[in-house]
Amino acid sequence: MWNILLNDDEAMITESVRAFLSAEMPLERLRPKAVQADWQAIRRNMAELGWFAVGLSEECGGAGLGLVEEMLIQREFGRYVVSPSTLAIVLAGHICSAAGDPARAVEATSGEAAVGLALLHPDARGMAPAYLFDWQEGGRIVAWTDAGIGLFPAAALSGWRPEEAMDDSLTLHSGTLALDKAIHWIPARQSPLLARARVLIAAALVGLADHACDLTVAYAKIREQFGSPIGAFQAVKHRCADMGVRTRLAWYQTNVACLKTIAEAPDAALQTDSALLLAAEAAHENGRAGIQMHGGIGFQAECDIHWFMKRAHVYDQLAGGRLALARSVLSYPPAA
Amino acid sequence: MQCAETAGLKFFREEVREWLHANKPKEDRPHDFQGQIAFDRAWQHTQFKGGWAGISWPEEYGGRGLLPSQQLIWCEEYVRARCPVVHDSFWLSLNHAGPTLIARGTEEQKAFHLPQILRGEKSWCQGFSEPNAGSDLASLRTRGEIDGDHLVVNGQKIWTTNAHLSDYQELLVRTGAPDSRHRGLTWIICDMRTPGIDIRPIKALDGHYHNCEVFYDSVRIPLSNVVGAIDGGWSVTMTTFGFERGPATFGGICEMIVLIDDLIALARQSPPWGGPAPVEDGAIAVRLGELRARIESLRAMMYLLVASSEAGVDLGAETSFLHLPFGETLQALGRLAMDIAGPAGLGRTMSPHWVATYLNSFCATLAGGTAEILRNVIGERLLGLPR
Repeated sequence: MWNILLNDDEAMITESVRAFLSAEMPLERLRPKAVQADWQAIRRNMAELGWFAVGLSEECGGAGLGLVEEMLIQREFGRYVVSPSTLAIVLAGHICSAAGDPARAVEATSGEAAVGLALLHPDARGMAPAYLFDWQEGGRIVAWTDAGIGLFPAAALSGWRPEEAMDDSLTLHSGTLALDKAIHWIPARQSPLLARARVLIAAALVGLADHACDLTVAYAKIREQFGSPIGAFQAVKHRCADMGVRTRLAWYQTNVACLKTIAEAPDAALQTDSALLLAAEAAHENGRAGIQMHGGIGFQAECDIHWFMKRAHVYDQLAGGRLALARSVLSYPPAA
Repeated sequence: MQCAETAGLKFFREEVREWLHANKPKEDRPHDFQGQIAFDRAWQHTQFKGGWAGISWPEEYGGRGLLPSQQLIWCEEYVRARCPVVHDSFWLSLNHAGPTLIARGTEEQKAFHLPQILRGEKSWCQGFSEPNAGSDLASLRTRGEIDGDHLVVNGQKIWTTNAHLSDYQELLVRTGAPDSRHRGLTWIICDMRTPGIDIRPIKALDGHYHNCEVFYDSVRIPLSNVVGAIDGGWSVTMTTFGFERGPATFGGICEMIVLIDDLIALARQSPPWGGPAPVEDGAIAVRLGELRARIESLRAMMYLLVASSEAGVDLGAETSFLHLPFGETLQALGRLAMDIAGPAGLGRTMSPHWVATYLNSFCATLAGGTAEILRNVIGERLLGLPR
C-alpha cells in the first residue's frame, strides 16, 4: 500500500514554510500600492533555509531528502503565488547534479541568481519558440521538451522581447531558445527528472487551489448579508464544500503520484498526469469560485483572490494543458 | 509518506487473486428474490470457508484479524476478477451493520451476529429513512415504547434497500418525546421475521426491486437488542454513517476502476453505425480522461483512510467526505457511458451493462445521505462554516 499519511517531520516542513511565506511573502505584497519587498534577499533567505536544494545530495549542497519534501515546499510556494522561478532554481540544481556538476548545482541553488522558467512545445527541436516566466536579462533558463530537460545560458536565447503577462504577478518574455546550446541537457530516458518536475507542478497547482479555498471559506464566515454570514447559505456553503473536496482529492492524488514516481512504479506516469489534470482543474475552478464567492470585491485588483486563477493558467500550460493531459491519461494501459 | 507495497502484501494479493480465480461463481446471479438470497448466501459461505470473510474483523468473531490494507487488496482483486456484484444482500452486513456492532455492540450481540454474517447465514438491511424523515433524519416518528423487557415498535420505514432479502435490520426509532429530535432516538437490532412486520418491495426506475416500504405493527423487540443506550441512538447512527460514507464505498470505488477501463476500451472502438471512435472527439477525451483521473484520486483517498486507520491516527472530518465524490463520479461515469454508447445505449439488450450502470447511478447521490446533505456536512464539519 502507498502510505500518504504525513509523518511529523513532513508536517513540520509544511508548517515552517507556510509560517515563513505568510510573514515574508503575504499575498498583500501583490496589491497595486504595496511596498515592494526585496525579493532577492528573500530568495537568498530561502536558499539558506535549504529549500531549493532539499532534494539534492550533500555533495551538491543539499539535505539528501527527496521528492516528498520538494513537493510539500512547492505546494506552499503555490499557496503564496511565489515566482515559478523557484521551481526553475530547484530543477537547475537537479540538472547540474544529474550532469555530474556539483559546483554549478551549489551555485544554482544558492539563491544569488534568478533562473527563468521556459515554456516550450513538447515536440520542439532545434530553435524552439519559448515563453519565459520571471526571466531576467542575462539570467539562466530552465526549459524542457518531451525529449529532456536542460539548463541554458542567456546566450541561447535570441530575438527576445518583453510581453505583458496575463498573470501580472510575474514577468513574461517571448523569444527563441537554441536547444543545442544548453549548459547541461538531461535526456528524458536517462533521468526521472522530467517526471519529478511534473509532480512539483501538480503540487504548486494544489497550493493555488488550497489557498483559494481557505480565503473563500474565511470570507464566507465573516461576510454578512440578510443578517447572517453568507457561509450559512447552502448556495455558498455547497460551493465551498466543492472547493474543499476537489483540493483534497487533487492533493492525495499528487501524493500518490509522488510516491510512485520515487518508486518508479509502472503506473507512475498515469498517476502524475491524473494529478496534474485534477490539480489544474481544482486551481481553475477554485480560482473562479473564489472570485464569485467574494462578490464585487472579488473582481478588483486589490482583492487577493484573483491571483490563483491567473497563476493556474501558467502551471496548467507548463503541464501541457487540459486536452493534452486528458489524452495522456487515456494513453496508459489498465492497471495490471 | 512511504513507498511501495511490502513483499508480504504482494504475496497476499497473489493468494487472493488465485483463490478468486478458482472459486468465483461460474453462473450468473439469478433475478428472482429467492434465487438471489440463495445465491448470495452460497457465495458468502464459499468465501467464509476459503478464509476470506471478515478479513479485517477480529478473530474472536470469525474474522481473520488482518490489516485494513489487506481488506482493500481483497476489494481490488474481487472486482478485477469480475466476481458477482459488490452490492449484493451481504454488502450492508459486511460493510456497516457488522462494523457498527464491532464498534458499539455488546459482547453478546457481537458473538451472536458477527459469525452468522460471515458464514453467509444472515444478512442485514437499514431502517433509517421514513416517508417524512429523509434528509431530516432526526425528525423520524416510528415509535418505540418500552414494555417490560421489550421495545414495542409502531410506524413505517421507506427506501429500505434489500429489506425483502434480509434477516435483520439496523432500526432507528423514537423512544423520547416527539420533539426530542436526535436526543430521543434508539438504534436497535430488529429481526425481520418478527410478527407485525410487513415488507412491500418497490419497483425502482431501473425496473428492479432494490428498496422496500416496511410497516411495523406492535413489533416486539427484546431490549437486549438495543445497541448503545435507549435514547442514545444518534451517536450509534453516526458510527454507522462513518462506515457507510467511508470504508463501505471501497467496493464501489474499486468497481469504478474496472468500469473506467472498460469504458475507455469501448470509446476506442468505432461505433457499429459507423464514424470515428468516440475517443477521437476532444470533448469526449477530456471527460473520459478527467473521469479516469478522478477515479484514481478516489483510490488515493482510500489509501489515506487505510493508512490512518492502521497508524491509529484520527484525521477527524478530513476522512468524512469520500461518499460525495464517489456518488457524483459514478453518476458522471454512467452519463458518459451513455454518450459513448450512442444509439446503442437506447436498448437494454444492446448495452445491458452500461444501461444498468447508468440507471442505477441515480441512487448514488441519494443513498447514505443526499449529495446536498453531504455538502452541508462537509461545509460545516470540514470547513467550519456556520449552520
